[in-house]
Amino acid sequence: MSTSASPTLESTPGSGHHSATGLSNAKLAMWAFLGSDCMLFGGLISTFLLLRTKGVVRGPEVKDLYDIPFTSVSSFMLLMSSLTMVLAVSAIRRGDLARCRVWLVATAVLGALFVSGQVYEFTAFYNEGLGFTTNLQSSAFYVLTGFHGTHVGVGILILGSLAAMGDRDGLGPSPAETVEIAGLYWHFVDVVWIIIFTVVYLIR
Amino acid sequence: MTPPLSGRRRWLVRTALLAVLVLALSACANDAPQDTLDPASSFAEELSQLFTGVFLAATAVFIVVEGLLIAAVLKFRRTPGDDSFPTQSHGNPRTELVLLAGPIVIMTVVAIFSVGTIFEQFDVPDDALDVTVTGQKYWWAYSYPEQDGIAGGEFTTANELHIPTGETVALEMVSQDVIHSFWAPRLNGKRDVVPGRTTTWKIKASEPGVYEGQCAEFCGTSHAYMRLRVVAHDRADFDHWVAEQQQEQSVPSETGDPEVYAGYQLFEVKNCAGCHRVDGVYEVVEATRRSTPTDPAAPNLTHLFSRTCIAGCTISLPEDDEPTARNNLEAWLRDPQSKPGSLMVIGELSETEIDQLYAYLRTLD
Amino acid sequence: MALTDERPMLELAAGDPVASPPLGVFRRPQAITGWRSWFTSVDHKKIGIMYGASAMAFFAIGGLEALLIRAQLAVPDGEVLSAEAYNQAFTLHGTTMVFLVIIPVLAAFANYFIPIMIGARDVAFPRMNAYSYWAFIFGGLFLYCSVLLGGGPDGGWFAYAPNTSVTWSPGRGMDFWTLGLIMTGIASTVGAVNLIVTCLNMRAPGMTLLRMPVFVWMSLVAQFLLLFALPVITVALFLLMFDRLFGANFFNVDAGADPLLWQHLFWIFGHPEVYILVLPAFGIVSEVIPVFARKPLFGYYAMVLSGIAIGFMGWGVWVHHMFATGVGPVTVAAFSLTTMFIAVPTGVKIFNWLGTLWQGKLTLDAPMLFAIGLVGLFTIGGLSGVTHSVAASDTQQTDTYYIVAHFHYVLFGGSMFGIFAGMYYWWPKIFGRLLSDRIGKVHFWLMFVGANLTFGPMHILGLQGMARRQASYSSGYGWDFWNLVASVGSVVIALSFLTFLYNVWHSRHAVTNDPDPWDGRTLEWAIASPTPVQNFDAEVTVGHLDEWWHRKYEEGADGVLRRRDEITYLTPVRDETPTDLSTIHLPSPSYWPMLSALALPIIGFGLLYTYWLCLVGGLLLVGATYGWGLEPSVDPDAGHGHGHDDAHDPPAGESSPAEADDELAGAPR
Repeated sequence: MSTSASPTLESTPGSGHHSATGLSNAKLAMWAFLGSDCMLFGGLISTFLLLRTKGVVRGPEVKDLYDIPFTSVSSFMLLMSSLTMVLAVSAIRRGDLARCRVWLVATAVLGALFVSGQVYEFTAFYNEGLGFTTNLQSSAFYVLTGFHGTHVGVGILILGSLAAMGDRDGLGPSPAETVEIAGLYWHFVDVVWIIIFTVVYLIR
Repeated sequence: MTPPLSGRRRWLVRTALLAVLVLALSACANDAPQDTLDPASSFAEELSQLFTGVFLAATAVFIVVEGLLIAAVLKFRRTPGDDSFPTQSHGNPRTELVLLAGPIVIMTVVAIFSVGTIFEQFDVPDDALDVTVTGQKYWWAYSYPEQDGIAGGEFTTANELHIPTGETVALEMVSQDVIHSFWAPRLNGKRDVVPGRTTTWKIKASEPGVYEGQCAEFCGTSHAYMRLRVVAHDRADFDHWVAEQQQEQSVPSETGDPEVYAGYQLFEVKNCAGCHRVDGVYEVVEATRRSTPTDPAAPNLTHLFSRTCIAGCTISLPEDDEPTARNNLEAWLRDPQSKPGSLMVIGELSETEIDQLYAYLRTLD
Repeated sequence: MALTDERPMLELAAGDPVASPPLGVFRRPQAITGWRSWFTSVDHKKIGIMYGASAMAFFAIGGLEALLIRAQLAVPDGEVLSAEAYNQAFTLHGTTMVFLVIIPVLAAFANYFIPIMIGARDVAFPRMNAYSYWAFIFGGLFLYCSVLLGGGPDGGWFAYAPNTSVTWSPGRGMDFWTLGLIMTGIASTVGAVNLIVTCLNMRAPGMTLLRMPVFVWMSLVAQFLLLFALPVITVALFLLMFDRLFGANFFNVDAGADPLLWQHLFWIFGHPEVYILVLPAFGIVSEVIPVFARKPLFGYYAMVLSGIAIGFMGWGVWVHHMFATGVGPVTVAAFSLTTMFIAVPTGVKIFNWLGTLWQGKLTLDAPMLFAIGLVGLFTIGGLSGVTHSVAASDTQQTDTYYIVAHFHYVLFGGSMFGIFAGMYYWWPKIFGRLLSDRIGKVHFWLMFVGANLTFGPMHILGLQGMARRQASYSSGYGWDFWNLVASVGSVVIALSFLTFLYNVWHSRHAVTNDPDPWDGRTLEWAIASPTPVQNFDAEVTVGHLDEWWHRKYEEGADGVLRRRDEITYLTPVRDETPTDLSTIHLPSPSYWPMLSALALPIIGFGLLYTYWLCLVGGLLLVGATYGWGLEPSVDPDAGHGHGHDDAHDPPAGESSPAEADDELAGAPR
């Protein structure tokens, strides 16, 4: 990841500025963590792609169950949540805490709709006879999308907490950056979904 | 803080050199039936030479590096009380480039000479004799399909792989449970046997003889006891062996030796026949992939007494020593769990029953 | 895993006046001395010491397992261990030494010395640092619970599927192994994020990247490798866990799975792991050798660049662990070539150490002996590695004792010798006590002779066809003599470790307050021994590589180096009056890191025994996370520190939440 692609790698002696890279510690840490998380999803996606080529011994194939229009809509909602996230960051940058909280809640709600869609999808698949242990593909599919769903869930908790704490001045001395870092995570989770949606659902 | 005397230092160096010499000599020890540097086939010969070549190159580098290290330590000691500084060299780009070139050149040479051998190793000739090898906890099965060189029908044996001398034998290898690895060091390197895949390997023996080997991938409790043996015959002897193996066993007659007949019945009563096949006698068992430890997958016992070992080649059945063979086999029947992790279940047997079973098994020759 | 890494963002309430006691549950701990303080400390030095002590305890356990293995193999048909016990012993030995000894002991050095060497007051996230330690120790103890609860893991540290499936390993051992390693993986990932941010962001003014000591560089490379490698094995471990606990099919061959998936995932992690284990040790000896040779490191840039090159190339060699699996010849050839050429940057390192020694003025004290031992022994491991890179002939050596010899020369001859070099070198700085050099030399020679006696003969055993991981062997294969020699050698290694422990005990009276006993070159020697809690009194401005050496020596007009008349230490040293800590801004102790780490084994037990415990653990995790998030890094009620408001009054737009919270500067302004 781009931890080393920061603006300045050398601090000016005596400037008293604390960050040698110009990025705050928290933001740099988030970038590092997201780099690590890339490898996690890389491993999961590769596993799914490999196991998908193996066919199934019993039960349906995952690809026969996809409801592409439905998943497209829920994917669209997740994409839109990136937009609302951007709006939340831009609001807090203007110092408009109230507007920011509205957008944070909107983002969390869109995320929650996405997760609900996923729960609905899982239930539908299960009813079609594709349980977690049914075959190779089902295990790989549920683990991959489940890990992503868990990431979205954690994101919703974070956004909710930020929105809830906003009125207690709980966003720290630099609320803009706090929200921005949450935004980094949220956008990452969205990008990962775009990749999953493309390689898992669309490319067969 | 007193530095060791330089005399002691020299003594240490001398001892170290002596130790290296002893090591080198003992590497050629006799009586090492799995010695990878004592090849008995052109395949293993090539690997041995390849290894020796690279090893010698590595030894040269070893001598230079360790020599410089020891020289530096001996030569550049600070005398106590000397507080002066040596030249404060931060390095020298030209020296470093030369030093960088060293390993690059050596590795390039090694690469050029070795890469081709990889492709050679994977190349199994079409006219090779095919044998299907099945690895399972904790023994090997060998099936000889009908082909040029083996006329008269497929047959299966266990633990001992018989091959004709001087011919390349292609092994099509599958596993019934976990990953194993087929390795007869004097005939070739090892190749894993992976469930769900078929791997191919080749062996050859230049001289008739018995070659030891073992499973080389950790496969569970009894991994250490999953041995194998390759027996190389002259072609004529091999054909003779094949013809013998192809014959089905006959069902003992009720009017024959009563002990043998009782053993034959016990074989079914004690459910030996639930797992072990005897061609022409007990053929119910189908070879299936093993999903549980109790799935039937036990050695085919046809012509058991043409083999020299049982139980993953950990128990010998010497051809020319019937009492020992009998002792060993009966001990095994008394307690098949004497081999750790053994999956054979037989239950309590009386001594009479053991004698009867032995009498029957002895007829499978 | 995600939850624990999100914390920096949740640390919102800095300066919140009502946040103590957070959530009203506990009074915030305030003690920074006394035994209780160890459980709540966020001081990188205390955490480093805890890492080191825990790792050494695991080293003793892993060593006992090694002794059991060697006792079993000392003579043919050994009867010390049953086959089942033997398989558990080598599984635990490998797992312990890799995950619970070398990673954490290197984390100990990194934690303790990276902040000091770069002129910082603490790591970037002190509480996350404490969390890393507690997650590591709970993960390690959880893994060892298996031994008490029905048998240890028995699938080997490499845990090849499908031998680790419930069918073939029905006990709980592999479950404890899987979950325990997930926990230590979380610990190391959090630690890696923390140390990377520390190295990149917390450097003192003037401490440019290319003025960082080589130890810091090598640790940084290793932390990047951890950051990217651990998620891969975490995936593998999760898949195995889902297979074993919930009946998934990832490694179920009956359902069509390919067991090689495990091997790829494992070794994509596993090979960078080798460099994670050895690069920081290289860093240690790159610090030790120049100090004891009285000259700068030969080729600092080459050293740093080769370390980075190894870090990158380490990702492209993993299939060399799978040369015998029957992956195609093109794959094998490609990975054979990459493996050969990773020898090049490794060779560069060895030549640079030789260049540093050459024409130096060597003082052969214990740290230097261990460092030279590393150079000598690692060379052997590196060269036998070259013989392994020749894929065709490697089909004879792989999975034999030859490779056991190879990686023990790398990990024992390399990592452990480097670690003990670090122990002797830094002991006075950490504890203010000198380890006896005379006993240290006995330790070195025992360990050196023992290592060669144990691992040297294994080359021969491997060439003679002795496969590894075999619980016993029969006479008649030519293996009897060298196995006995190796077993005798293992006893010598055990004696060497006892010598070290005796030296530690012996050092209790050897108190020294000499801040710079070795005439060191880097910043840790510019402060008092043992390191004062604040590390530095004032912000350090760095002008050189080997800053402290440049502050001590100058080149006279005649070109001769001489010691400066006046040398200013960066804290009060020896008997000078200690600094008044009330003026210094330090992170306050906290219960939350330990509590949130404690949630991990509770969830683990829940997964294995009753899901209700998962709920308890989950609630604890969430509660502790919020407690942590709502607690300011510096306790406003604490007796020391001069409060948040005047410490942090940055101009708008330039500050960050972290700055006000977890981030610590090299000095107060």
